[in-house]
Amino acid sequence: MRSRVRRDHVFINCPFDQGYRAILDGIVFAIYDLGFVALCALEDDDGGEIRLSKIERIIEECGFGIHDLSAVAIDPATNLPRFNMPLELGLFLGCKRFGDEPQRKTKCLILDNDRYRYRNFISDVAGQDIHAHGGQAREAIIEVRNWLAGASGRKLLPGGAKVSARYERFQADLPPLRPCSSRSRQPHFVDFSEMVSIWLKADR
Amino acid sequence: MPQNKTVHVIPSDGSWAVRSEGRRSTVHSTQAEAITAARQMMKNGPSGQFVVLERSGRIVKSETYRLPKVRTPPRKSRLGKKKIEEAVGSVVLDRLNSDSLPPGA
Repeated sequence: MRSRVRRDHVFINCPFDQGYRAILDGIVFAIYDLGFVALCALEDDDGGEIRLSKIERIIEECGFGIHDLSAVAIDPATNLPRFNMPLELGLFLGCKRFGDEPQRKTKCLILDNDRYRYRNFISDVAGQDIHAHGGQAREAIIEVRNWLAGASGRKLLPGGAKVSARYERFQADLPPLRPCSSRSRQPHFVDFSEMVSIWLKADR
Repeated sequence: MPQNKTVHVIPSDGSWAVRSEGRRSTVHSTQAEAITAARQMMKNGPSGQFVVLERSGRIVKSETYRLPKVRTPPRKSRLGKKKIEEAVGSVVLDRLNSDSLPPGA
């Protein structure tokens, strides 16, 4: 059966810890401002679906993937690096390589803090164009914008600086919106995505 | 050039105001007239969108012009779309109502 790849769905493979949240929020905002939809493994955590199966399902339906390797570093508590992001990148590339025609047309963006750090731990991706955000949400937004503009071929996409400026305005509005999230300090991914979508529709 | 590309149609003392950052606002007796004015403003201006907000902050109508259309997330939010929409709308309405732009003739 021919896979159903959505050409407006973007899979985000990134760290989910608090330290990365600003970059994740910026990437999600950019994706919606550019007219796409953001999906990641955070969207459903009801425990009913095995996590790897969930990731496979999301990868299968997304025409684009953003993979951030910046958290691949030694964890001082365990003395081990985190491998989830490289694993999911491998799944995405494998799907692209061995899948049907719609899957072979999928495209991915690989992000890291530094453009050449990958050489020390995942040199097999040499040849892919690694983009650096330097740990800054603004840079991540600009990289995502420029990549999506080229990868999608869509015209009339707003520039990276404009998307970044809108994100700053949205961030300024977030504190009044936080009571919306009641229990948690940070909105859940699906609630945050809804906030972004509605805010852009109301005050872009 | 204003960063805010959104033209807002909002209730205003029994009438409907068309508001845009950096531009003169106008007041109309009906929502339909205000929408027509907003639509005309968008057609003659740079890329952007207009949105009609009701008093609760909910989005009644929106149209984009030379901008990508904002998509709706595929998964239902836990808080509920209505709650989030009203919260966002309240923030936007508060900002618009505190704007010092005088209404146009």
